[in-house]
Amino acid sequence: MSDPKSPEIPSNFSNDERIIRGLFSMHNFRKDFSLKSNVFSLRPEVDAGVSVIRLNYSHLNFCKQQFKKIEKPIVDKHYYGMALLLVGGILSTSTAPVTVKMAYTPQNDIAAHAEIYYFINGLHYANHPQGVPMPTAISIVIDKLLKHARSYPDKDLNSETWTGEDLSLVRFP
Amino acid sequence: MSIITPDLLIAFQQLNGGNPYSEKKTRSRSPIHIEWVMPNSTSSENNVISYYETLFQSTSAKRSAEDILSKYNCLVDNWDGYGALAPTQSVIKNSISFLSSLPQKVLKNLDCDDNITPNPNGTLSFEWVNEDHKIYIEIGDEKMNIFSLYNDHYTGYDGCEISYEGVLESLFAKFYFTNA
Repeated sequence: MSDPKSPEIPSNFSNDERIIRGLFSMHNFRKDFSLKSNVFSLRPEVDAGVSVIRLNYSHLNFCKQQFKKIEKPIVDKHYYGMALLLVGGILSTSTAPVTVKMAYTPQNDIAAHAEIYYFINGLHYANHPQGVPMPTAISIVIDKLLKHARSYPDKDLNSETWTGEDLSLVRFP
Repeated sequence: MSIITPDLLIAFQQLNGGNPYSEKKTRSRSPIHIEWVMPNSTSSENNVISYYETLFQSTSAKRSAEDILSKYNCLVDNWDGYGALAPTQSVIKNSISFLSSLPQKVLKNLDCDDNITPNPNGTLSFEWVNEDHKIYIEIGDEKMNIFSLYNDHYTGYDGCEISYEGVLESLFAKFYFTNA
């Protein structure tokens, strides 16, 4: 399935835009399937932010298929579900000295790909060293992010399509 | 009579499932009489019992910390599908040592599924949560970072020594006091 992208995906984000993050490890969940902080942590020693898909410019079936495609090369690692956030919720977690921003970063196979970036005192925080705890300013922001995120474990993992709740219609308070 | 040194005691405990008191049962059935002797050869029975208890507690705490962390020790790189690193051996070692040093009350409130989180950068996080209070600790190769949340107010502590004493001790005192 190709990405049902609009030919014109804007580079700016509206606050009510929906953002999806694929989940590939049971270590991302608590027993009640609420999310753990590692869902929004940065990968070490890379320049990238937290990889997400702009649901308003994509489709749940496409997201799921991309996630299932990613799981294949990983031994014993599987796609488990998705996290859903609103852009407004993400941006609202900015807490001095950290600012949270969204960046539109389309990829060849995912036109609606985007990233969540953390800035400390205006500088893009990246290339975090291995084995070093994340600055608490960022951990605090991630803790706030979790309060805005909803967890949707996929109850139909073998299906090629998303058969759960329509996440484009889920109401946020 | 056999003399048991601390090293032998640990080895013996491992053979007996970790409980030094199980040795007493073995002893009562065994024709061999074993007397525990402290390294400095004190003859006070109280001291010997106290020594057992301390050693048992620390060995037992270490073992339970190892058990708690065993599933995180088995992670491989890219465990989250986004390129996360497995916890480093230093992080595992530091975490075992840290958990072993926690008071029982604190350790008991740590749910090993819900309150321990491997992070993509190879560190491990631990958190304690009650109604209005959270203590979050991220242990790295050399240092740990801590933040506390109390009544919607966050306080962060970066670059702390990996130890219960100091900042954490006072945070937990408040955590349990306000939860009392």
